[in-house]
Amino acid sequence: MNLRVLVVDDEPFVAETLRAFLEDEGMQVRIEPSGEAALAAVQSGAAFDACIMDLRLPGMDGDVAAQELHRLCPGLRFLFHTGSTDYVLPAALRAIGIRKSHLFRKPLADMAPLAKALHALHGASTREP
Amino acid sequence: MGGVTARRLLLSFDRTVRMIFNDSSGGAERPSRERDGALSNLFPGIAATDPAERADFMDIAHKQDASFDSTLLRAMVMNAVDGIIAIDTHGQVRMMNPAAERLFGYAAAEVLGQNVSMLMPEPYHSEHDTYLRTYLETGTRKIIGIGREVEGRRKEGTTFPMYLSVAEVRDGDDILFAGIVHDLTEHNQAAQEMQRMRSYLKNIIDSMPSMLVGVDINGRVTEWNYEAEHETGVPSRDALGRSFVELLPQLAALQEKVHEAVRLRRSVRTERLAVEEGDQVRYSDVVVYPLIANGTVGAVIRVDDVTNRVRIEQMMVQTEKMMSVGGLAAGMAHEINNPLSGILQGCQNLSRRLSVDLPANQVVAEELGLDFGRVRDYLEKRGIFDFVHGMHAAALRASGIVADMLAFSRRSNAGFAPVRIAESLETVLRLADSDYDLKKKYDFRRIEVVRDYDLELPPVHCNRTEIEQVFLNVIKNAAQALAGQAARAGRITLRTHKEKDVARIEIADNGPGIDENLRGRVFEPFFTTKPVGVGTGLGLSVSYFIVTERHHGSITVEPVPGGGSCFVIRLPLSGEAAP
Repeated sequence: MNLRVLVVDDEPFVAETLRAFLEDEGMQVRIEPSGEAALAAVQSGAAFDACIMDLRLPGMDGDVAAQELHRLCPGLRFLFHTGSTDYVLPAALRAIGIRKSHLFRKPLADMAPLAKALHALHGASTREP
Repeated sequence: MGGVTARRLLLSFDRTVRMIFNDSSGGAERPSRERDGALSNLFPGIAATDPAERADFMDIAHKQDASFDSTLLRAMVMNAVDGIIAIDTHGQVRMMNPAAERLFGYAAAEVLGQNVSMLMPEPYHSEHDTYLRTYLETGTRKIIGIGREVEGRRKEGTTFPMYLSVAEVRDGDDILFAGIVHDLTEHNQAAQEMQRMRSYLKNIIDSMPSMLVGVDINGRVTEWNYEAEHETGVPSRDALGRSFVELLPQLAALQEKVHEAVRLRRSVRTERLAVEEGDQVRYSDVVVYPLIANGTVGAVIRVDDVTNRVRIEQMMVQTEKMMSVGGLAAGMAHEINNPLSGILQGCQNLSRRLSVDLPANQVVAEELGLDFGRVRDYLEKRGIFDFVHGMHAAALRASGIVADMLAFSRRSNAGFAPVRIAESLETVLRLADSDYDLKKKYDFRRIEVVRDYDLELPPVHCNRTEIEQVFLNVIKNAAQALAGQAARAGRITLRTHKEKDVARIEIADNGPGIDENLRGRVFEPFFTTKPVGVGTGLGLSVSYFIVTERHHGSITVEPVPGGGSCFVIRLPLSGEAAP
């Protein structure tokens, strides 16, 4: 089954380059420009295996959006894609299983590790009981 | 000696009396022949006299005031606080009152008939007879009719300072001298004490680091301490009495403050009074204190040169600004990372989608009836792959710069840690290379950088951010020096060297160099030879502060043979953060 990936990023071109790469990797990608839009998509029935979340977003911050999304669908796994170098994971994110290895720093000169991490996340989630 | 002697003596007492009562007319009258009581009864210190001869002297006192009878006169002389001694022309003592007895420690009987020089220490002791003779022969006065400070000699041999006034009493050919002796011991002690106090206070006033200028209500100088002398070059003796505005024209504005302080009876403060001095501005804090004592009105002006403090504050403001710029840079770097993501990720997609390795590419080409190999041939021929690589490399470099900037602005709070100097110099070169503001003034890439690193140099314990800021300032300064010259290619030489327990870092340029007379000033805050807007004039002084104060190192500038300057920074290898 193709991995279903939700990309939340307010930079349309950044989101598009991610989509192109991940689609070439055989994944299904949907882009939402904000945390609110992502929540709305999930609430209206869209289903995803993984989410690539930008941290700095208009409106709701990425980490808050991730917690909300986690509440709605606990099986959803997250990767964070951020321009901040000194971002320290808040306890709330650690509580939903997010680790330092899930943080990816912008700009990504190579998106392959990101794709690999998505596959790994999916593997982890499918192994869960 | 007969009655004449005694009479004259009393004449001189009469003068004493007049002196006591501030009568300046001083006994000019000739004595009459009116008689009075026995003088020897009156004054036991007086040798026996002929009643006929001494008949005429007391009437002077009587003429003065009828109530001035001999008893009273006698009582006055006998009770006078000052010593009274009379001598004849041979210097023999004819009379001595109890005060004089007490002063010299002799009983009158021991002195009467003796030469008065027995009451004098040397040189008076030997010379007194000569004085007398000289006076009698030539009329040259040493003391007679005048009075001055001399020394007396007590019976037990000690001496004491005294004020001696001598009156001459003449009657026909007979001459008598009456001396009044005022003990100056206490007075002199008091004067000495006052002098000591005065010089003590003067020492305190002079050791003040402030300029202290006392003025009267008209602004005339009454006090001028050492610092004022030092600052103005005008010695105190020349300053006293002159107008302070004339001596310190830069403080002319204070004239009003002096009046204000006196009128309001409180100190008036002026902070940061800016005074232009040549090509720079100096700042002073000025306090004017009212001075109202014993009816004299004036003020004390205290001037403290706070230029250095003001400059350090400005430096701190500048550092603060730089730090907020650093904060801005961090924010900007963050923002720049987003478009860089687009470019880098776009390039990666471009490469992949033009690659034979991605099966989907073949599929799509076939759908469109394209020969994917031919498409690649075309792209190859048109250099498209090179453009893509170029874009990727350029974006990567931009991302490296942003990362450096972020790291630089973020490390500011880091403490002392071992730092590889060569590594730091390289970081700084990369930063200088991308210093946008400077690029407008010069092209760093046209400058040849020569590296001569001592591989044996161990890591230096220092604050990396601060030391890199120093390197950046000095390298920027070198690059700016090189910008102006077209004649030869600019070159910056970076050299490190281990000197005992010190790291010696040289940053040399082959620019025009620094004039010898300016060399000592390049580390002064706000000293700049650059046109307005190019430099703040703070870079090197901040560097100086960081190296000397924070790291206990040194930074100097030396000329380079053949032109150019060489900044030499010495850092202790095992430095510790300044407290």
